[in-house]
Amino acid sequence: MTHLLTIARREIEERAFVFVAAIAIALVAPAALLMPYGSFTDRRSVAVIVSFCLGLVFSLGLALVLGTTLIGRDLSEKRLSFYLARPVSPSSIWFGNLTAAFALLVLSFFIVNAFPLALGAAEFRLMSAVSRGSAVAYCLGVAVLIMLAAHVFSTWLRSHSPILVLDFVALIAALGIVSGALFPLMLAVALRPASQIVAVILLAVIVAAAGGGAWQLSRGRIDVRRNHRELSIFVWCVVFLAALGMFAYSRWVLAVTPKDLTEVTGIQRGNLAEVHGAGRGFFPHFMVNPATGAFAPGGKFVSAQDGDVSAVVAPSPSFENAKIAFWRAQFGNGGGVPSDWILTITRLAQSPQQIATLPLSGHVQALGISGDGSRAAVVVDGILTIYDTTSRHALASSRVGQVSAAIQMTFVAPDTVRAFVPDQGRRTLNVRDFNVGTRQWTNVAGPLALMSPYLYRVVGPLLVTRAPAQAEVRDLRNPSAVQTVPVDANSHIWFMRDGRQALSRSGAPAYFEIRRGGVRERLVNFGPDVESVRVAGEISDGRLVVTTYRRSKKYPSDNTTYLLDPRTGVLGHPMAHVSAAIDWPTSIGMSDPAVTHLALLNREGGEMDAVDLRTGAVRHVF
Amino acid sequence: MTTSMNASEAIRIDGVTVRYGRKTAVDRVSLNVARGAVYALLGRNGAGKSSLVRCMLGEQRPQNGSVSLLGEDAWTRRTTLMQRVGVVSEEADAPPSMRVDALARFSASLYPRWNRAAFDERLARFSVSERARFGDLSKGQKKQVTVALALAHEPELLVLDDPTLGLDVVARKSLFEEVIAELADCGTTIFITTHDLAGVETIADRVAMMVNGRIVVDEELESIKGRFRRVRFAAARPAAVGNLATAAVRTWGAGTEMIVTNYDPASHIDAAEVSSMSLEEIFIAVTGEEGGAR
Repeated sequence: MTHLLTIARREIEERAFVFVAAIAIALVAPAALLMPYGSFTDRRSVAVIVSFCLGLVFSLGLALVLGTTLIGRDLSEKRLSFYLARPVSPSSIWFGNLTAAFALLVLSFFIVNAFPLALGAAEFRLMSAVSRGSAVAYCLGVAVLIMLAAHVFSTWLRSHSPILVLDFVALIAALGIVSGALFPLMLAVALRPASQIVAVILLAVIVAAAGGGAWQLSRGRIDVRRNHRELSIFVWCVVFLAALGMFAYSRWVLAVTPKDLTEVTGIQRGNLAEVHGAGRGFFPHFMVNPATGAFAPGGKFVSAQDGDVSAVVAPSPSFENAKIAFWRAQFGNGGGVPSDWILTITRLAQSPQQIATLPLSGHVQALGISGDGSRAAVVVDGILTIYDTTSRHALASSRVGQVSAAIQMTFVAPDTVRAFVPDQGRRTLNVRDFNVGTRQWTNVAGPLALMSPYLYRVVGPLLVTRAPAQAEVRDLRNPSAVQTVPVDANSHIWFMRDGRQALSRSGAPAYFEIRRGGVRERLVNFGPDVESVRVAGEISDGRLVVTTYRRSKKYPSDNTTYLLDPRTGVLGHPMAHVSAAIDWPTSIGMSDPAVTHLALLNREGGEMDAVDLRTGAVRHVF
Repeated sequence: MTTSMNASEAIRIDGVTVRYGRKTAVDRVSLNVARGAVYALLGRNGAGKSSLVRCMLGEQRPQNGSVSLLGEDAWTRRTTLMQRVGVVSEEADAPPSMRVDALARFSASLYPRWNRAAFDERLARFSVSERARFGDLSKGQKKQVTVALALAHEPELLVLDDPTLGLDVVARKSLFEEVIAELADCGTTIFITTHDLAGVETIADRVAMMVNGRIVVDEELESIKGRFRRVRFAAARPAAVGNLATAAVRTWGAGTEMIVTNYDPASHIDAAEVSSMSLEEIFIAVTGEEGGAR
């Protein structure tokens, strides 16, 4: 240690002129304060920004110069004997030089930037959007990285050794491994694991270069080529170890399953549940079949109206395997889908079974999947195309018409696609069926006047449209009969299969009433501390799956789910701290005969139960 | 690592080979230097002397063979060994911006046995100012400072790699006198590579000569000088030269001149003139022509 410090002191003394240069540059920018222009505040801002930029350039340039002369110059000019002829170890020589270079870098950085650091808090925020401390840490970190990288590259280049070719190959390979670790994580929006990988790789580079210097000197001493060889061995061993470790970590992160999730939330998608939560450092999404527990990782899901088929839309062409691609559109089915994607259709029965993949290009406006997954209806730029997903052949195409709002597609028969096409300007809806065999359109209903320019949901023959304070339900079998229901932010209404409505109203306490034809049949109370209640589904025997919310100090969101018998008002099968996934995110819902299973999510343990809507049985899924 | 070597040996080199690509600079060289001896390694430029010295000082690892200094492996034990070894390298390699006193302070902090008084005394004898920058000194002064630095920690072994390179006659004389004085003070082992044969002839106990990476001569100086003779015959073709081994044969007026490498004073040679040779003449005879006398 003494020798290390002795060498460091000697090196600093030899390069003391750096401090003089730093002081000279530090004095340049404040001189701007004396210039006769603008207000003093403006001049100060200019001086601070100019000073910081100058200081940054100086520090990065100094890092480059120090790095290239750290040991490499003495080595190539055969001046290393000055140290090696004395009783100092190679590691003392290296770390002494490194300590000196680091001290020169840090001290000169603070000298050059003394002015902006002392006065420029506001300008720092303006320039970098990070705090002064963070900006200093980043700048010095980059400078150290440049210095060490410069040492490595200068050692390699000065040796004129053919090993340089192998270094280049190793560099490409290492970049390939790191890219292979990072890009899937970026696509999965796993930013924390990705940033951890970047940090580990940067740390490995620093360790490799810093440790490599000692290693090369200890084994190569004055032999320039041997120094190169030993440095390469050390650097690439460390870098590849880190890169392969991070590649494995990346694969481990992406191999996340629903069992790994905590703080789970879910959205019902027909018979499937889109589940997401925190797991392995990010927020993965899964499509889960609550009936079987089968799951598929994915991003944007489009479920078939019935059956166990889901479609996962994944980016292409680099990541065709949708199981490692996570992407989630923010708005609606098909809306906002960029061009060039792979539609992956997966059957979620007992285990995930990929049925087909289909490349999509252009702006996809709507997607529909047949119940068995054999056909996909895609609307791109107003053109509907029906694909056979197995052969990827287009079976038929037709223009949908002017599409001014999000349209919806659903297969009503294997050869028939129903298109719900709203006209935003006229506030009307056209419902038309397209037959794949005849390639003909058949008008089902419309134009139907809508209370809002958007069609909210389609449930079998029922169309739901909603506005801020009311909802409209229209039966396609009798389109002229429109049922209008008042709903607002504090109420929730559920249309039951037998025509009754379950209306809940939030408040303290929240209450719940069953109505038929606008007349209250039963009032259900949940207790004084329950603030809201909503229905998630209806079991075939008429019982409702309801989730209540109460304020709690212990739990941030204290939910309890019950099976409520609307005939008697009895709340059965209470499930504490369990919330039912809903398919109806706003304050209106409807029993869908095609939905046979409902996901219940235990938010605490990240576990999921499923309720069989045919029998009312609750089963643990994961 | 301690290698097996005689306690009376200061340097032991076993089968050292150094290659640079396809070129073999040092070819299976072995030699031993006794403690307290002055050992001179001679050779023409590019003979491999400096490579051998670098291996000796643990600065370069030979492809084959091993080097032990003072009973310890030169490569693995270099750091501790250098506390007992003084080095005067071929080129004065101290940083030019360092002042002489700073060099002394720097060295003092590295050696546990640093004799500042001895350093100052030598510096005074060389008339070198302590405040002078190393880069501002003349070549001779640089060498003198280097010698003073190399001797100030009272080394058991002093290695001088071509110390007189580029020095004028006065500086050379001064350097050798300093070395000799040091030798007189305390029987330090000295290993010296040099072209200055006249200087080394006065101090060396044993001499080795290196040709194309190989040691071709390695024996006591007196022994070499005893067996090498210049023998001149009046006749163009001497009738009988007995079992004389010759390094060179050339015309001498009407007669013949031979460089004899196994001269025996007891044997009778019918020659016109038999004269002894200087080390320089022997060196030229040995190394001057490819395949000279060994």
